[in-house]
Amino acid sequence: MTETPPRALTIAGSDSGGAAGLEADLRAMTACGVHGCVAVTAVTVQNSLGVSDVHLVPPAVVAAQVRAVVSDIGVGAAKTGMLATAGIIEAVAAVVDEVGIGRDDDRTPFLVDPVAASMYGEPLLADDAMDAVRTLLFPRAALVTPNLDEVRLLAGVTVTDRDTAGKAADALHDLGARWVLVKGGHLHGSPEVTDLLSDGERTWEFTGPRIETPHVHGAGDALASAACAGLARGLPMPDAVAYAERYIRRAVAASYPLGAGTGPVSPLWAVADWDREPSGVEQPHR
Amino acid sequence: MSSTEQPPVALTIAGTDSGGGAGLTADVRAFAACGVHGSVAVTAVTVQNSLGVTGFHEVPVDVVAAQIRTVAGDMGVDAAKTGMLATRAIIEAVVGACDAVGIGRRSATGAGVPFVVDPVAASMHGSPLLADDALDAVRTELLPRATLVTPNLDEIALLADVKVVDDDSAREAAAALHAMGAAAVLVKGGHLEATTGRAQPECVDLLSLDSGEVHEFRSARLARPHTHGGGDSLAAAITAGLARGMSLVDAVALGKAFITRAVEHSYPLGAGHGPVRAMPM
Repeated sequence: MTETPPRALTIAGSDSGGAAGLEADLRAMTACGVHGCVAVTAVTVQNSLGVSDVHLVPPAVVAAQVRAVVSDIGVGAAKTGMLATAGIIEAVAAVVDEVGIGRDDDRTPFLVDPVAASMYGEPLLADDAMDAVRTLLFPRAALVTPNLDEVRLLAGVTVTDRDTAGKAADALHDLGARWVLVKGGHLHGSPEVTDLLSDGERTWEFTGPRIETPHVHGAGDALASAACAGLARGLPMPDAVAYAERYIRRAVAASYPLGAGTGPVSPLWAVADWDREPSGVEQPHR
Repeated sequence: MSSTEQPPVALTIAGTDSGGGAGLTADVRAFAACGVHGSVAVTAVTVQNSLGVTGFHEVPVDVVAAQIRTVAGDMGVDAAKTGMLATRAIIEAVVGACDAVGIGRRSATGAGVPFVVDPVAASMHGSPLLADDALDAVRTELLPRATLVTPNLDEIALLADVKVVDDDSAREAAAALHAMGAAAVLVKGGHLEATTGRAQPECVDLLSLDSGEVHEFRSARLARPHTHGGGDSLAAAITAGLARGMSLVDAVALGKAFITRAVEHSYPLGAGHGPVRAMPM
């Protein structure tokens, strides 16, 4: 028997193809040495070509899962993925308040990955739910991790370079998020990928070479889950994001084809040793 | 560098465990640790922690079937397993979809891909995870399609009405499950100490093949209180081995090695039973 590892909770949808959603979250959390718990919001019928159907879990069952996990197992951080509807968002906002998950230092860190659409463009969030993300989730978020499409939907800012990324971060910070990570991965044509982290005053840039692979399904989920794992391990915010940035580069580099469409990042067997690597990758601070 | 080949794909047809210790959540970890891509068909969402199951939400049967079809139709499935199936209607939908896409022994498309049936009837805390009228559907619908069935001793008592207390009764149980149509039976002896009240220094699992061959898999019994998800993880690791193209005997050996290590490194979680730990093989 060994010690209880740090725990993290994902509040997310299931991807039957196993590439994204809570399945990607569980793999990333496991690779990062954290026990992953789940509150399932939706069951998607999905493969490498797209999402063909979605079954929603009742908001009361979503909230009950969060309560069951936090009251017994306890978590060091929580994240959201696909929340689907305003009704589920309202239930999540209420239950995180109830169990002590949220934005500020007196709460368990709450990471909001504002998933609005699948990578194929299919909506994973009802139209009226976008406003609930802004008004109910952002003011509770220790960190938000939008991609450039989500930045445009949420803040109305089109990011094309460093300046516009900074403007977007400010706009999202103004919505109430304590920290904002603007992910530049969707900015094509650049040989490098830069993600910008901001707390409204200071900024950190994470830059690396663009890894040429079409198989990046679940990359956003895996990055957010690794950041959530870093927070669950007790890292302060910039270090948790740096930890996740190192993880996702390794996970993208080890991506693989699957089906006729887009394959996933993060095969556990290729990255399971990643945070014990002696060179190149730092151990997270405790 | 990124891989150019698709890895083997395994499919679990199971319920989620919010506590992350068992069910589909354990399966996803075990698949990844055993080197296969894990895909899922969610049958139910359980509200669960280390103390027990306090509620569950069933997924509509057409959505369960659609998940199986959409995975098999695109990435293909090299081996599949079942976990919590909850109701007779879900079992009927699962076997219909499996037959249609070529999973199991009644596949419409010829020799079916390996189908491991873990006949989950109750949580380790005793909460029922299968409706009463569904038990008969396990016997008549699932077992005839199973490449391998992996019951624990409680599930054997329910399914075959045999009380396993020793090697002879384990063989009797295997024969009864073969008679219901399972091609191979793994009688898991892990619960033998609790069933007989006698100290058992070893965990002996008995694999009975339809050829009449019997293989024993022995490991030292580890005194570990945290074995939540152990049955799921074993069945998932065997399924991963089958997806990788191993023979049934080799896949069970992989599963046994995986679960022995996972139990050895299990950890406390919450106030009740902690989970086994999936470690890369």
